[in-house]
Amino acid sequence: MNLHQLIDESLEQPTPLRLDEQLRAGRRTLRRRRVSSVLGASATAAAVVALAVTTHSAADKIALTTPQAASHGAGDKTALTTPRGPSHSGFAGQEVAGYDLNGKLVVRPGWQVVERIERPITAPVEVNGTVRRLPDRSTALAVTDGTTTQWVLAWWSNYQSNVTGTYAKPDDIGPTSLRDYVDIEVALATDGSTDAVVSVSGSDVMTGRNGVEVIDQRATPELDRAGTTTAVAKVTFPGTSPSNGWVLLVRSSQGVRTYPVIGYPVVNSKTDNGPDTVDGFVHWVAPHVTEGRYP
Amino acid sequence: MSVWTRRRDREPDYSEYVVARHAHLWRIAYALTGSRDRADDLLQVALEKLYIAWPRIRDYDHPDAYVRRILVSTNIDNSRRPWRHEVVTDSVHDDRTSPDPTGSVDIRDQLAAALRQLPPMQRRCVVLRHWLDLSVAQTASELGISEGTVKAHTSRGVASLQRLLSHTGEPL
Repeated sequence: MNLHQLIDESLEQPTPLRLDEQLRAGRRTLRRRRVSSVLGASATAAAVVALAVTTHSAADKIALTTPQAASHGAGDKTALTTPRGPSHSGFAGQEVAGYDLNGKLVVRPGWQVVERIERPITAPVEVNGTVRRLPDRSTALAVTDGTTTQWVLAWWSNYQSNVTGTYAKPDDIGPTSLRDYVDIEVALATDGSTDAVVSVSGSDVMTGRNGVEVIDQRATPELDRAGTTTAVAKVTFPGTSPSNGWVLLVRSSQGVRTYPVIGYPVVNSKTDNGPDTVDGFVHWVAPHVTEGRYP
Repeated sequence: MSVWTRRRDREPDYSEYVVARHAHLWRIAYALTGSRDRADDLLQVALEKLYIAWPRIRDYDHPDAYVRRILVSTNIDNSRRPWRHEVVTDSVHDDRTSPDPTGSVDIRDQLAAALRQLPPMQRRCVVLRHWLDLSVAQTASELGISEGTVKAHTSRGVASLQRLLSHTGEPL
């Protein structure tokens, strides 16, 4: 039996097709595209934009309703609600919250915002292929439907025909706070750094934070700079297998520690394919460190 | 009115295509992700994109190639996130496992597990090269990497599978 046959037999039988559900999803996506393109191409664009700006500024104001925070176990979180209604038809994503293509922050009906961090993204993100720009708007939210809570990091840019990005996850695995979740997601989106992934002990042993597990590590004195020590760690994020491990460059210095998250598969995964071993990563990253790409 | 007319035009042959090819496309999604839930999510996103593009590609000789490219690129985008990307759906997924039609449960399960253990890019290269029978050049184009990288990852992936399955006595 050859590998083709073996793989073919190893694949499970499909989940039954729900054609009606698939068609509904397709229609929803098409409707969203048409709404945004009609708005963008209309000869009365000026009037529409003026109206949108007016409604946006009103709709983006989120009303405080503090008593519900405790009922969702949110502790000291401030409970918030978002407006409901037809404006949700323009929502560009499938997540529970995010920006529509006109830059309006929307939350799906039935979900409430219980915590919010304004403008968490302060560095450029990829908005179109290799183009990177600072988003015009960004926000991080904890939203709940009363049963589950999800964390969302969303941004919007008016670059070209408007671009949005949304990352979301349930709050039951991984980071223990919205702030840590946002720190990690922002580091990944901006090729930046975060101290929310690993910590370094006095004996330079790395330990995972926020559910991250360190599965391999070694010191890399060849990458040190004056006043810093450097190491490389292979880690897994919560809920993923060791085969999906990431390799990180970890730099610490006296008093201040930074942990650039530059590991597989985020960096150059499409061009260099991202090294997936500690040794391969050290070999790959060394010239970049020499060039000063990672301070 | 024109919106309704165009929608009805696209749906009969889109539906016919999806019904005919769903099983094959789902198996590609499963091979890329190694998980039923993720395969469901990945295929749903791909078919939504296909719905949008259908008037443009309905007359292609091989719409499968277009959908396969969507599946691969979406899978790569998803793997750039540390956590699973959460998608809201209208209904609960069906988690029932279908019966194995071949009866070779052991080797099937072991190879499926071995595939899941491969790093994502190795798994993609092995699936595209050895299951979908794409050439090195086609695989490199689909994945957006060099042909040399495809060869390296395919070789490492197959070697890993051989090592992981060595105790079964099944030659690769």
